[in-house]
Amino acid sequence: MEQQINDQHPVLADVQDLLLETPDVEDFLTELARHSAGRLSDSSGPVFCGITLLRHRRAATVAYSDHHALLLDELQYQFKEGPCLTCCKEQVLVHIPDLERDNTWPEYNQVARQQGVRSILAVPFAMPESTARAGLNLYCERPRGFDQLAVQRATEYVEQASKGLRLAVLIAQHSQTAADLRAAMESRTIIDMAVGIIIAQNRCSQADALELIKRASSNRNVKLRDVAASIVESAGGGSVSTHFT
Amino acid sequence: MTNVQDPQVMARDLLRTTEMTLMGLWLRFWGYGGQAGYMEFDAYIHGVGSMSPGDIDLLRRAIEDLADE
Repeated sequence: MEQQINDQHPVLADVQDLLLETPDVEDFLTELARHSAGRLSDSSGPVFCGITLLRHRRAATVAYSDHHALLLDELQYQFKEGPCLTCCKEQVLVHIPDLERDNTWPEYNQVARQQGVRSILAVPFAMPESTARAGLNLYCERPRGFDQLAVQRATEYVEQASKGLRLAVLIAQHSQTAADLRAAMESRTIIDMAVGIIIAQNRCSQADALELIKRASSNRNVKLRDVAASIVESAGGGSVSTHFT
Repeated sequence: MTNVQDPQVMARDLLRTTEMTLMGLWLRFWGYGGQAGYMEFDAYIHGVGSMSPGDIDLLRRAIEDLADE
């Protein structure tokens, strides 16, 4: 028990450090995959790690400790089945101690063994508020590469890392919203300016002015924003910037 | 790119099959000069409200440009 407690704290601290040190979610996940592989490898052999993200029913490996893990993940997406996909979709832990004694996914099993893998462990991330599902996939070249302690450690590790992952996803969503807002305001600035210019020149309504810009955009097959920019420029407005302060 | 498709259906497809959020789509529509507020926009897309023909056209443009990106 004491060992478990001692083991958990460094994980949380590690994950927090990773979050602070990495600029975006992708980098964070890559470091997490490398870190997981490192922590779960032992003297008896290396462990490869991939992280699967399932969004809108599409699975993708978003990070991996090395290309071996990426390939083993992607083979599953090709076959549309395998331990990591089941783990992600059903949010359950999947453990195959020895591929030679397992026949749950015959096609995948065969190619995975050709790649030299004998045991697989897939642990789901807990992301209750998110529409995305994620799983940590671990591959080992030895049979029974993950004993009871290793499974327990991986589960605890993912549990702690889940908090970091949730935070990383949240931060990414916020920075995306901020970027979207900025882009919308920049676009709207130039369109409103063009509308104003047309109103002054043609003595028409705002709706009529916008309609004129739309028609020009359709006729020339140029984006609305670009038509607006050329109207402002030709009226002597030069290039336009949106001020945020 | 097709002009015959209903922007309402296009918007719902987009929200269902991609990462685009309703807020993200409204922001793009608003950036194009759209007049409808977020609530009105939400109601229109989900079939319980209306928008002006001009706004519907802007929504269609916003979606088409999104597909081009």
